This record gives sequence, structure tokens and C-alpha cells, in this order.
Amino acid sequence: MAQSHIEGRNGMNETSQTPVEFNQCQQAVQRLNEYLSRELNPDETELVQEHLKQCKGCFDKFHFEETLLKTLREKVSSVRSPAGLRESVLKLIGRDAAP
Amino acid sequence: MPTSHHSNQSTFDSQMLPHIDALYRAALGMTRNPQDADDLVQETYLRAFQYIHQFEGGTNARAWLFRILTNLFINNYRKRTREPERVSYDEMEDFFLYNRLADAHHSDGGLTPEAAIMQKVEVEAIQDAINKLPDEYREAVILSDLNEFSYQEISEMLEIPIGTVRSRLSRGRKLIQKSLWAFTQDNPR
Repeated sequence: MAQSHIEGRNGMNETSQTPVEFNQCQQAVQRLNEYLSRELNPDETELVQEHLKQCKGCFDKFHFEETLLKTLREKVSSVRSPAGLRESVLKLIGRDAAP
Repeated sequence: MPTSHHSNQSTFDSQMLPHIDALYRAALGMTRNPQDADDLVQETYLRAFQYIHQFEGGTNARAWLFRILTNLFINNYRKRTREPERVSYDEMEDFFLYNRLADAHHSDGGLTPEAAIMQKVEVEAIQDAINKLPDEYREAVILSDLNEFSYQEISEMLEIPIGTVRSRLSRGRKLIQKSLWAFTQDNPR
């Protein structure tokens, strides 16, 4: 279902994906996690980015995953340490108040 | 000696203290309990202060502090009663959340998958999704996805091979997507 939708929007190979293209998608998806973590070496990063330029299905999915992680990070970073924690830390190391 | 004391204090104030919010968030994610998180951050800073002479100026203070915090958490807080569940999370599809949000978007013409995430998912839902992860996956997700440490750094902090970092992160990410999908289903807006 999702697969046929992607092919359709790809604008090519409406009815069948050639093994080569399928293989390219698969190769990109296998690298998804490391791509998101920026752990791929430059060659592999380029390989993935090249594929994303050519395949809208993968581009949309990868872009979503990046947005998801960024959103999680940003939303969670609104959580601050409670009032008084900094003072407790300073007290613990023998300093009564912040300079 | 007074000079060294003074410079340690200044290192502590300028390079250590600014990370208190990030440390607290990580501690809260790991312990899942505000009081424990508070204690863990205090212990981290106490340890950092005691060993500050070992900190090399100019190196990454944030990574150094996170290493202390992670170490204290693993030794003093993490329950070591059982192995992580051996359910095969790998059976979960890639792009689980995207696929479902995209299907919903196409069937009811509502929010795009990205808009749905940005508009519907609240901090509480994210914290809840992270809290539900088994300890091992939670640590990897907190260090990697929320704090952007490298696999190498995480491998050193958790004292596990890089391949293990990779697999825990992959599973943790999938489980979070599953929780977030459940959240969007339970909280339609």
C-alpha cells in the first residue's frame, strides 16, 4: 500500500520497481539510523544523499525521521532543572551562594 | 595553591555549571524520578568538583560531566535485576510512525506527518515514551537523540561496544515511535 503510493509519486515505474532501484532504497534505509546520528563516513553519506535526491518516497521518510528527532530534542529541552538545584550544588561543594 | 583553587573554581563555574539543565534532563530521563534526578545531578557535580584536577582544560566539559553522570547512574540507580526483554523489536517495521501518520493524512486530509508531530506531540508524551523504554535503550536514546553524543562517546560512557550502541538505539527509536503513535491515537485534536 505504502509502497505503491511511493512509486506513484516517484513519477517513474508506476507498475514495477526494477531490482536496482529497490536495492537503492534498501541500501539507504539500512543506513537510516547512522545517517540520522551523523555516523556515516562521507562516502556513505553522499550515497544516501544522492539517493534521497532521486527518490521522493525515501526523501519524505528520511525528512520525517530527521524532523521527528529534532522536534523531540527541542521539545524536551524546554525542561529546566528545578529552582534551588544550582544552590544545592554550590552548597555541596562548600560555597554558600553564587558569586 | 590558592591560584589553583581559584582556577578550579572558575573552571567549575564557567565550564561545568552551565550544563546543569542538560544534566538534569538526562538524569530525569534515566531515573524517571525528579527526586532521584536532583540527587544524581548533585552527586555528579560533587564528583566533578572532587576530580576537577583531572579535567583537562579545553576539552569537552559536557562529555566529561555526562560520563560521570552515566557512570553514577549505572552503578547506583539502575536496577540490575534482569536483562532487557528479549522481544524481537527488529520485527517492527522501519518508518512505523511515518507510515501510519501518512496513511491517516491521506485518508482524512488532516495534518501531514511532520505537522502532526510538531503540533500534537507534547513534552509529556515524549517523556512518557522515553520512560517506557527498557533502561538500556533509554540510556542510548537519551545520550544520542537528545544530547547528540557520538556512538564512540556513548560506547565509552556505557562501556559497551559500538555495535551494541547501534542496536539499542535502533530498537529504542522504534519503540518510541510506537508510543508516540499510541499517544496521537489516544489524544486526537
